[in-house]
Amino acid sequence: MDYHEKEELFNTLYEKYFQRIWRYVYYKTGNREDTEDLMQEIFIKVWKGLDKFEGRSSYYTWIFRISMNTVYSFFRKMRFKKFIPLEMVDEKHFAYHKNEKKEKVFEKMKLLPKELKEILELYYISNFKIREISEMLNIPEGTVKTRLKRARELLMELLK
Amino acid sequence: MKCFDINEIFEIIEKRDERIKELEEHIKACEECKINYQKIREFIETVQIEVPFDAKVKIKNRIFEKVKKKEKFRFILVPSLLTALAVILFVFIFVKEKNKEDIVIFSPGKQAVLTPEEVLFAFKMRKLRNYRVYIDDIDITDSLKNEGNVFYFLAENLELDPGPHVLTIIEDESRIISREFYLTSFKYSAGY
Ligand SMILES: [Zn+2]
Repeated sequence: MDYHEKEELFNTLYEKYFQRIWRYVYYKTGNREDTEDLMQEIFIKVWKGLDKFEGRSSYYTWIFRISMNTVYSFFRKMRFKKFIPLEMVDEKHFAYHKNEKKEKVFEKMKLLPKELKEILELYYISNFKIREISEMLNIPEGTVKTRLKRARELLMELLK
Repeated sequence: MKCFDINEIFEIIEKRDERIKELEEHIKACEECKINYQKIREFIETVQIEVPFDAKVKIKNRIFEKVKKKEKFRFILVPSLLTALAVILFVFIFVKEKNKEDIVIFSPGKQAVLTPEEVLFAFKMRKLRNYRVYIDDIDITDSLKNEGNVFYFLAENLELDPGPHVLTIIEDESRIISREFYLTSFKYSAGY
């Protein structure tokens, strides 16, 4: 892949996934500034990784994994900076969504067990399809559907 | 009259199912379904996160500014990276071989490049179960454990820019040793 091809491929992926990734990152950080920085970091990693990308997974799976890792590292770094004891830290400490209604819903979502929460995030925040989520998390579509159903039910209980 | 369960309502709304008429009719008479329906609609609206219209272009410009600058630097990065990490690595191995409680500062030239606590830590590390080692935000612990591959791993996988970096070691998930080192294009030096 020469430079021109790489740039073209990058642009296509950027156009295609920017919005979904933005939503995910914003949901996690709750503010625009951090989201912008993280978006930059994520797509620089994408740029760097394009040469080595072997097509063992789809692009969205790959990009999304980069995003999750980058966000995770971000929270870890924040922990260093603030010296908050590990057991007290989670994303709640750093999220400051301005919209109260949103914040309330997001807070409830974050209370769900991890495997349900991540399905909701991928499905409702990033708007991935069941099939795509199944590939990303490496679990059967049927399991994604079951978890999605369970997640909706639990969430509605929490939002009552 | 049969009630709608949570998932049915979700799907009717999301898929713009024809059964919406049926549902709307039903909630006129059923308070429970009505509340569920409103809650779910509210949820679906609330989770929509808007992307600021200028963000996409702005961030892309920033990315290309960075990557273009980077392409230029690339060829001098590899040797400097190797030097930096060889130093760290050497300390791990050196300390291990001495296998004593004393603190050793390894210095490749006249200048000592790591602080005593880093060296001490490198020494102690072997005995500890719970530690993680990071360079910037890259977790290199597993590679350090598997010494045979470390050098290869570090050279292959870490692309550090010239400039400040952080070596961080977390012990038992609580004690944190964090230290900056400065990577120039030709040598590794540490600012005390
Ligand atoms: Zn009903």
